[in-house]
Amino acid sequence: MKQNFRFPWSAVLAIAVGFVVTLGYFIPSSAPVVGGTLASLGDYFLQVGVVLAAVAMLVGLINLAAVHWTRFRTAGENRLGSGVVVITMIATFLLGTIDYFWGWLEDPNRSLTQYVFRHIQLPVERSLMALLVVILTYMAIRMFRRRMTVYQAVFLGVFMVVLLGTGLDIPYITDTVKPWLSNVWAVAGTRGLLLGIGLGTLASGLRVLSGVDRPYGG
Amino acid sequence: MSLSGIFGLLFVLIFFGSLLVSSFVFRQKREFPWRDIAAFKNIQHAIGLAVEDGTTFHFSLGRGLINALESAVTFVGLRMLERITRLIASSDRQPLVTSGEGAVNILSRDTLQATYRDLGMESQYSPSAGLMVGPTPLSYAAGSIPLLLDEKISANVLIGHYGSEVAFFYEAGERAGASTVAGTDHLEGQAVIYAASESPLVGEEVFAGGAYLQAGLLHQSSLQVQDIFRWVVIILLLGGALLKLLNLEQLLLALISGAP
Amino acid sequence: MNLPELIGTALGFLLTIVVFSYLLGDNPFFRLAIHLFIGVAAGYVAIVVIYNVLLPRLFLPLIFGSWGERGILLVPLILGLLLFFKISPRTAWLGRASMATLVGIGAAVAIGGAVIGTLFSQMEAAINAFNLGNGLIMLVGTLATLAYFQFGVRKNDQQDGVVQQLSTGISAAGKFFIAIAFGVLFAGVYTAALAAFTERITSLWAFLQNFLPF
Repeated sequence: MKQNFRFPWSAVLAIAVGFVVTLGYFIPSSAPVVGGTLASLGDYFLQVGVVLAAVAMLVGLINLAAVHWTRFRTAGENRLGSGVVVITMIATFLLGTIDYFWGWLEDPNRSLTQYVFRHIQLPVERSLMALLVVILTYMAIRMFRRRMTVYQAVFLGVFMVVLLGTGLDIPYITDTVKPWLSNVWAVAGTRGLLLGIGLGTLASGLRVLSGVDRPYGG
Repeated sequence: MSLSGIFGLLFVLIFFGSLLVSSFVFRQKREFPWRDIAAFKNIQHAIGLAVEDGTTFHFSLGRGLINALESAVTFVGLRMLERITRLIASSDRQPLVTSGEGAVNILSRDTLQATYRDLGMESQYSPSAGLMVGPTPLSYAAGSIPLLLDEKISANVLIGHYGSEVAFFYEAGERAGASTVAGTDHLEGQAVIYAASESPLVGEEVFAGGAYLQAGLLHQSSLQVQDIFRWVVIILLLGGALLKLLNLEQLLLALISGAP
Repeated sequence: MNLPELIGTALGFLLTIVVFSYLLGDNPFFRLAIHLFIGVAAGYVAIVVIYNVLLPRLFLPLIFGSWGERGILLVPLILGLLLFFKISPRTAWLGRASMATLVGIGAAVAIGGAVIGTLFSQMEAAINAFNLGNGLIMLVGTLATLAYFQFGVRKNDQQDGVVQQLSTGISAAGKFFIAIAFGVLFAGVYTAALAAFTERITSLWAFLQNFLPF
């Protein structure tokens, strides 16, 4: 294994940028001496982040197109599907470009993109959401079939009560039990979960900011 | 000047200081007394299976934005990917890595390439191992179905930001005959995982992935510091409740309420 | 209904049926519909990224903005351009600074968001909600849930009977509250999916009614 030492420029950059943005988060702009500068620098880097995330998405989309283009050119069982991805991706983008230059992008009656969105993306998305009903029902039934723990029984019981209380107007369940479960008991659990997730998030962010975790490969 | 900003910064600095101190302690002790989490055992078992059988290990990194709060869970996923790639590399196989966001896709490929470079096996790295399946939650989840069914996967591990669409990954994993382990920071996603799995990763457990896969001292010390601060939060909450009873809660709320 | 709308609605009808066909098993029509969906979603996201983010935030100010604005935008422009080198593994290292910047920003946002947006705001809400009725249940539930996730275990727990019993009790209470929270959240997910299911069935029926004599 090579052991050549290379100065970790990218780690230094990540740490420096992260440090400035973190300080900008906590030190108010009204703080004497550095407050205004830190807040402005923090905002600036957040804007840079938006642009970089957008470009990264484009690079990801190019990767997506490239993978499907390669599959399309190589004979295989998914060749047709890959071709469809590349063609519809380019076509949708071209329609959006026409919309943009003709000024139709926001006009639901003229926008070609919105037509495609309304008649292809939305039906498939909603159908997949609908499919989720079957998958979730199957999951719940399978939970019944497994050797259930008391907590899983509580989970399923609460699920049934809240579902029935939402869909039907059952006296006592709809107006008392369901709101009590949702607004008191579930909020308690959710808050505990969120506090724990907050601690985990903080630790994970600090590992990156200390240069221990370097997912950018530097 | 707002007190909550200063208190927040202090909180972060003390947390970070504790991480450093704790990692020093671990360097001396070298023992990691963590409770068993079945999901991580399942991942280790799946790694062993993939190495023995030469089957495909699917690792999915979710669709979290890197410039948002959910980046943290993606960083954990990327560190786990690095560990898993190292363990699988001995079998001359690459994990199949998928994601549903551009920056995550780039980072997944960076992680794979850097790991293979570090192992002196960069020639074996293939960029096609890191795929962006779809750019929206449902296109990512539904697009993964044919992929999982065709690739003959034996393990289906998902660590990242997922909502309820995680159900599709479970469904496809089951059809493909693979064991699925998933962890997310999204509560709705966690509720689905809780229903789908006998050994779910819930709450903050997903953030412990690096420590359970022996990713380094700071991952181990993170768990210890999280444990310490858990009790700090509990004490603050109990103190706050007591102050509320005495109508004095503003003393504490001044430190933690409102943006700086 | 005009012709383009009729064609669009028919396409939506067909796609819905094809997606539902997955219930009978994986099939080529389902795969085709999913690939179509991925392509359209990718094209749509590219439009949003270019025309709603990059043009107004980067390119238009670079072309029409003041010199000061142009200077400020030079950094995201260069870092953004370098990201395109990530497409090839051979040139990927050139985009490392861009990804390092993005990761640094992401880590900072995670830290700030976790402390101010999650930890402090949840603690504030918990304290504000406290009373000797439901507020007490909420506090006990929050504390038990949080305590349940304790990672560290004591080596000699069996020697310490009281602590062991207390820890088991807290853990059980935590799991109980977690189960309730997930039960409610799962019901929310299920209800949303059920609403989509009803909407799809209604739209299928509405389309079919155009061609039915009754």
